[in-house]
Amino acid sequence: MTLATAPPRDRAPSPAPRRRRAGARTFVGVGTVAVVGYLVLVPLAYLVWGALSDERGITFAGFRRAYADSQLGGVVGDTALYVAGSTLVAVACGTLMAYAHVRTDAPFRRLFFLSSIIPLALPSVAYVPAWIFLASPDIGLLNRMSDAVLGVTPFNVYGVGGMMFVQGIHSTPLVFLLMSAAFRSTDASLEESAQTCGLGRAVILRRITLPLVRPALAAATLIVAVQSLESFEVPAMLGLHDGVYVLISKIYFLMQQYPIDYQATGALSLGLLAVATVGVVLSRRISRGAAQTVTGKAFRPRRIRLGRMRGAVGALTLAYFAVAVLAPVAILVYASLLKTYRTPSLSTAGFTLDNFSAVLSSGTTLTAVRNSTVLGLGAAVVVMALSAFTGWIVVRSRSRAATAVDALAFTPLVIPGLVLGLGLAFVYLRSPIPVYGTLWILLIAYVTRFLPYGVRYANTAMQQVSAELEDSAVVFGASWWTTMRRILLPLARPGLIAGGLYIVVVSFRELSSSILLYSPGTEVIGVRVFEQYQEGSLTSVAAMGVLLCAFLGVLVTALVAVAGRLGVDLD
Amino acid sequence: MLHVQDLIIDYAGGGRRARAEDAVRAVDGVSFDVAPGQLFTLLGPSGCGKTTTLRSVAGLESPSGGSITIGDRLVYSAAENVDVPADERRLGMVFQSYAIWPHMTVAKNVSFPLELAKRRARPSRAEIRARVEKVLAVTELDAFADRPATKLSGGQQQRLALARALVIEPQLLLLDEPLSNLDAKLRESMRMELKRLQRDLGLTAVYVTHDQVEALAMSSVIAVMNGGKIVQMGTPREIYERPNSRFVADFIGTSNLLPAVVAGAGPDGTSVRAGHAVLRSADRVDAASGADLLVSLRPEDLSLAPHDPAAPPAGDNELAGVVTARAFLGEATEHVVRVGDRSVRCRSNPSLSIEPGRDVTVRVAPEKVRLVPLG
Ligand SMILES: Nc1ncnc2c1ncn2[C@@H]1O[C@H](COP(=O)(O)OP(=O)(O)OP(=O)(O)O)[C@@H](O)[C@H]1O
Ligand SMILES: [Mg+2]
Repeated sequence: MTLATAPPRDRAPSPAPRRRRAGARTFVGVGTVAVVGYLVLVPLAYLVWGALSDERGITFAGFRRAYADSQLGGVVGDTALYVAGSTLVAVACGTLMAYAHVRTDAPFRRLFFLSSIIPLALPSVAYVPAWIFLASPDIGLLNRMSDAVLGVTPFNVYGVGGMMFVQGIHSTPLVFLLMSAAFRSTDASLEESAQTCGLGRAVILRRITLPLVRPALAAATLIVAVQSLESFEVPAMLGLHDGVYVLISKIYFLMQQYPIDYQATGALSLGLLAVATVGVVLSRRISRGAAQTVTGKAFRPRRIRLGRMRGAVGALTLAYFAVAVLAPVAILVYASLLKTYRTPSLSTAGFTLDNFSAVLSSGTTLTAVRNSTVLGLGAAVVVMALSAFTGWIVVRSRSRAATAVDALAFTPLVIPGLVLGLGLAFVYLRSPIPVYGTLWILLIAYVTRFLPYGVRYANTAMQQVSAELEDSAVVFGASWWTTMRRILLPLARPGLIAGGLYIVVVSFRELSSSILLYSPGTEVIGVRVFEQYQEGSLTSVAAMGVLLCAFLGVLVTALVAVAGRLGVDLD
Repeated sequence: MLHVQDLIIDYAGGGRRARAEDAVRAVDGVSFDVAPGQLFTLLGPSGCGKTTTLRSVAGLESPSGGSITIGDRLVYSAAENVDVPADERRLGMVFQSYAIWPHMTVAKNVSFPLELAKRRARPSRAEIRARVEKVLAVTELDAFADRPATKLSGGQQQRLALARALVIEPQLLLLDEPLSNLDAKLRESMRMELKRLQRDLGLTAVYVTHDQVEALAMSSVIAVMNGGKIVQMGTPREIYERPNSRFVADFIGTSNLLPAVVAGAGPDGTSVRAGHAVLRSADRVDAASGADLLVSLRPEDLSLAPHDPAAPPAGDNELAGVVTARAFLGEATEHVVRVGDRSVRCRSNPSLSIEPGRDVTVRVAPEKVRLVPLG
């Protein structure tokens, strides 16, 4: 064998041998895990502790008070009804739209996209009041119109029915996005082969298409149900008016009492948290299974010709767009131009910009705008920085901790904003760290709540960067930190920017954890709108809503532009 | 130059809860040496551990046993608890996917490795520019220096990956299937190009491929790997002509492998019985009469003639058979001949053409009859 002789074995190796150094990589990795763990676990721990402890030690008195409450049966019943109803509305509308959009030649394709994206710029604090203008029993436009024509006032946005409808319509875009992806990724050739066997269209839909997307459908259903369970705005604005309580508003109600029964509130929150956790864990499990049903081939599903149905589907699309987007926005703009609200007519008499000038000259409101801006930008920067390193640990490090870190970073998804607020209040009322009553506690809340979104964007962005690009930099002498700074972060930057924009958007919409954590001077926009609503100045609410929507509209447009180049799903 | 000893690499098992017994042993006790100026090839089927071996030389994988010495520098040793990080090994590497940084220009891709040098060792700006220009000229990329690196053709990207690896003038160049993403024609010309560069610049290189033609054409030494182990190591000629196992014979080029039994051994070779025929081979084996082994007959070593009924019955080193298929390949004709219950492929001068169905005699010289141990 013509092989070289081995180099002499008994020589002193020239540079001193070393183990891999514990450098920046270890430092940043451990630091990230510590920060994420602190943010996520500490409020949960305090929540449990707050629910279980009093001066004398561990007690179940809070649980007893919370769950033996004679009204609780009614609350749970209403919650179930509301969640089921709103989920049904969202899943039915969203799935139908997704099917029409992906699998048929329905007209107005652009409109589908718009109706899925515009609601991102319509925060609940503006959207819900819009529906009050449209369908409240006394001032609602729809009631006034039907009263004039038919002499009846059938619509009532207050109460469980109205809550179901508004929450359902507001969640529809999420279902639409999830189900569009599912319809797009299941193989249309299965349907086509069924068609060649002579099966009718309805049979194919029922026997082939629906079973194929059933896992995605189940996952979407659970996600939307958890969202309904956790969302605060709709129950607070539409339920409390007539004394209808669901779990989340019951918790809020308990927090407004004096003295606050922290144990009972904590106990109730833990119950809500448990239900939400079951929902989220189930949906993740289901969608993990669903990922395997797609074949991975890129196919252009052939669109089904609707024929004469096309007109009807087009009309339905227009109607949906009118109801879900156009009417609420129009009535909001209309109301914002009036000093005192009156039912719309053709006259423009009394139109005034007073509301806007009042909004823009109110010191508290301007403070709120400033606070929201600071918090939005701060949360975006902090979350994306954390997410970049979390994403690196999850996607790249091959560390055994990766799965745990991933699960940890996604945990806030199951914590309702209000419950997180409660947990943080528990923590920082008792902690020596003086952040209670400052913007810092809100920043902590926002960073925790929005961490999962940031991590999702960062993971997607980093998965798209081939690991060999980093390996090559390392081989050519780049340290871990240089590789991060010169290779991975620049290549993942569009995704990180999109994530940051998304977080600014959701920060400006935030109400449910701010409502428990703000104090005078640290109001945010959501809180300010909610206060105006509680004071009954609906036209100011409308004016602030219009401004907020316009601002978010600009941000969302930028987000769509960035994310569109990136292929990130905006859910 | 490179000395790898008893290298062992385990991957933690897949699945969500990693357990020790799930661990995959990707590389299982690999040892080899590469002399300066050699092009050493790791050849083997997909998944045999070639990339893993190469990456651990670069420092990108953490082995669990063995040692690696580059030049006179011990970079990894399980026993002595040494593991020099990848960024301090200063090797050149060409990745299978090229791994060209898409956010940099062509010139920037090449200068980046130079800029990464520790401050003391970093060349001056002017020197960096000069070296980049030189290496871009060598790889014929000078016309594209200011282009974004993504706007290059496949062959140009491959040359850029090579330029980037060469610019740091590494002691050792690692190449992981650098040609596998190119189309057949380009692959052939780049193969020559790469070989020329390696020889002209006097580079020492470890080359990974699963393409035996590439390996035979380029290498100084080939190590054939299977299942995480090196099964045979030698010059291309040795590997091609004296495969030491069925696996190697099968993997290196097309070969006819026939089961045979040792019939007798003499000082000038061995005679074996394959089917009804007796074959004399120049190979000597230390197996007793009656031992089973394999006979390897290269298609191009077989000569084919129409059967002549007048001739005496088949003698030694002659196989009688029937042509079952014929293919004209341009530079050769290939006949498939049924001998007993086996098919044998024969490659002959394109002028020879025998219709399927005809009886033929296949002849082979004793020194072309290769005996391969079973296994
Ligand atoms: N990150 C990993 N985790 C677990 N197992 C791995 C990992 N990478 C590789 N393996 C396994 O190690 C073995 C060797 O892989 P390796 O990439 O070295 O193969 P290869 O010889 O380069 O193959 P190819 O020609 O396909 O590139 C394979 O069985 C592979 O499944
Ligand atoms: Mg490989």
